[in-house]
Amino acid sequence: MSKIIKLQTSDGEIFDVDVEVATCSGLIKTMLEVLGMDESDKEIVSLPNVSSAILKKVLEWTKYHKDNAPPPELDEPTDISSLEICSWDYNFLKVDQGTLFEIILAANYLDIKGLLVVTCKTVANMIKGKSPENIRKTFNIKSGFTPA
Amino acid sequence: MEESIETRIIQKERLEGLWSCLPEEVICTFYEYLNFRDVEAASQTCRSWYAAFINNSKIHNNVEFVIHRKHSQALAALSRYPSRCKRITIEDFGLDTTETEWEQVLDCWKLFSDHVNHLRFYKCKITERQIESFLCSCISLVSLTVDCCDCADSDTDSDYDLINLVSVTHLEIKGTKNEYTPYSTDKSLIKLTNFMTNLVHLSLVKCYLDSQMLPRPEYNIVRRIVEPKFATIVSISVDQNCISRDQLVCLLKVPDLRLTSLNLPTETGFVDGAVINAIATHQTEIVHLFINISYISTEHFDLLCRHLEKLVTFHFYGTLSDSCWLESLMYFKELRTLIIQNIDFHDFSNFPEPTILQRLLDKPRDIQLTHLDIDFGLSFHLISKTAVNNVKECLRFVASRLLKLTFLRLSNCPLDENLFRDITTNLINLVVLRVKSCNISGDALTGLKNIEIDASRPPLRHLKRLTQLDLCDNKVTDVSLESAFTFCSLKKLSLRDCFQITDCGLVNLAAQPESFKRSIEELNLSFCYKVTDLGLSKLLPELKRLRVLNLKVIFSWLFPFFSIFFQLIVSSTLLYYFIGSLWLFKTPVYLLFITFI
Repeated sequence: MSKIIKLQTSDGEIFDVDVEVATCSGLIKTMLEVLGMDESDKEIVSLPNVSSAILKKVLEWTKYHKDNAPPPELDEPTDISSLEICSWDYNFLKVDQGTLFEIILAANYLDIKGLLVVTCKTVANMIKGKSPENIRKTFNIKSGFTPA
Repeated sequence: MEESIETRIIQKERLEGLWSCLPEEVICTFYEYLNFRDVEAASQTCRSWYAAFINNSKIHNNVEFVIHRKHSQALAALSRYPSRCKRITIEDFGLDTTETEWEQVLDCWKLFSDHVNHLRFYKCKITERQIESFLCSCISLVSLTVDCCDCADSDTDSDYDLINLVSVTHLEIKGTKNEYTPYSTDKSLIKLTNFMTNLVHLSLVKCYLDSQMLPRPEYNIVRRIVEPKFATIVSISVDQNCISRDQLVCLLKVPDLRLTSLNLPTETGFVDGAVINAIATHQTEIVHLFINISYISTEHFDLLCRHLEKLVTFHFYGTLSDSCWLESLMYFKELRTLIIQNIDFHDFSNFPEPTILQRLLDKPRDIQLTHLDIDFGLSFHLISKTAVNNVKECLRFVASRLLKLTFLRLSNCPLDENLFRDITTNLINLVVLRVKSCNISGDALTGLKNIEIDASRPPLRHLKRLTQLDLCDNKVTDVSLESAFTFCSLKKLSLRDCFQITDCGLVNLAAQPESFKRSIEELNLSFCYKVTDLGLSKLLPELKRLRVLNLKVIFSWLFPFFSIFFQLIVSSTLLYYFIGSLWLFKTPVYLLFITFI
């Protein structure tokens, strides 16, 4: 039987997560290595920077890529610069910008390389071919900045 | 209603400025997937995105900054990002560039000439003096490329100090004959190379030097390379335009020169026995070789193979008097990649002698070859039956001995059922299989007519690792699609030019097991002109992971094409469609004519 780890999000909700899935995150992996597996069994790992809604999404992603093919970027390093992402990821990331933003932050915080790459590619696709003004509009960035 | 509007406004306020406060390393990750123009645009949106751009040296190392004369903002951009870009291309500065424009460019150039590593002139019509004015201030230049430029001779010798060019290791000069003549004299080129004493890679392909017309020994580039100070060079690309055969032989015999890579994209007949001798006796360290060996004798080819034991990549082109290449393979211990193009079969008819083949099969040593690419050329269809049989013998050898192959491409050769079965049963490590115009029948794909094989077990089932299959221009039928790929999990499948496929074939594909349908990412159905929207509407919803679909078509009737187009837009979840240009032939009769050829 696989081990379970408890993760607590910023809003206090506690998730029971398979260790296999949780260790996709570089942060949790290092944490477990430092603390040792046995102790982590009882203790709750708190993730103050991640809300429960976002953690749900992140876990959905890691579970999918655990069960199905690993994200293509990782086994094909030559393709790293291409902007193509697989259709499952594409549908998965059809979310509003606020959520996308938080997934990026969470992926960065939790150190999940594959997810960060996929989300950054999505953003890069949104930037591609646009003028600075259009990019500002797309991402709701405050104008009034002039480059030096 | 009011509430929802209010929430939306709050939502919008919450989003305002959100993206500006991303950590810098995340913004840099965005930039990694964008080209320079997009990065530049993104960097102008806000302070943090700009800071990420300015502070990240990785970006500047990788992006190529193009200074194009038609970009009016180029100069402004130059001064905005001083000393950051490592790769710079100067493009399209012609003779009509005004003096002031040049001065502006040179002024800006000073800002970051200290940092540039890779400099490329592209489609410029400038004088050598102007090039030198760019070069004299570069202190960390690593590679210099003069591509498709027309370099007019200066009237007077320039007095620029080019001592900084000592850091350059890669020099490449090329052009196209009619439009561009890089270096109207090689005098200036000699001057440049005089300073480049650490040169490692020298490429002078399509570089039309006048030393050919008017030999002036004091300005001869080859004479200069022969000098001991050029002994650092390990990689050379030259063709007949900048070097004569005698010069090439001299060059290869230079005592201190130890080449690891030699690229000779010369015209047919340039490389002769003397050149081969020189390579075989003096340059035995070569690892990568590209050579046109048309009309050299068997003995010379054998000599070449015998001496170049360290060869890893061997790419040759042109007529072979017989199939000695097969036996010569045995000499290479390290060979991994073999590319053979346009073999001419005029003298092929009496190969192979049974004894040679016997000897080959007896040799115990494994062949390490992983990458084989043979193009038999168009002349193949014109040759005699004996020759065809001989070639089949060769391929049988390939199938039985080259067991480590992961990449196999065969173009324009006949693969009958047995041969195809041999290849698929033996070469189980294949990842990429491309058989173009190889006359493969539907029966060969399914293995139907073969008594030894169970009808439900197509030959492709052995290739467990296969991810790319190209069946371009073969006789693939609808029926064969029913069972051919049953056990495959391909990522890329090309059925280009398979004229016999109709909608029924696509329906058969749609009925394949999940493992097949789930794995397909790229599908090429271009020039399958019997395919219509009906078949595609059955197939496409089944291919869940499809990203690229190629539907370039030959159509003499337009309406089905447009309906396919709309069908695609409406019905599916695909990301990209590459719908190529529409080729219109005047009559289908012409089309059929092409098919039969």
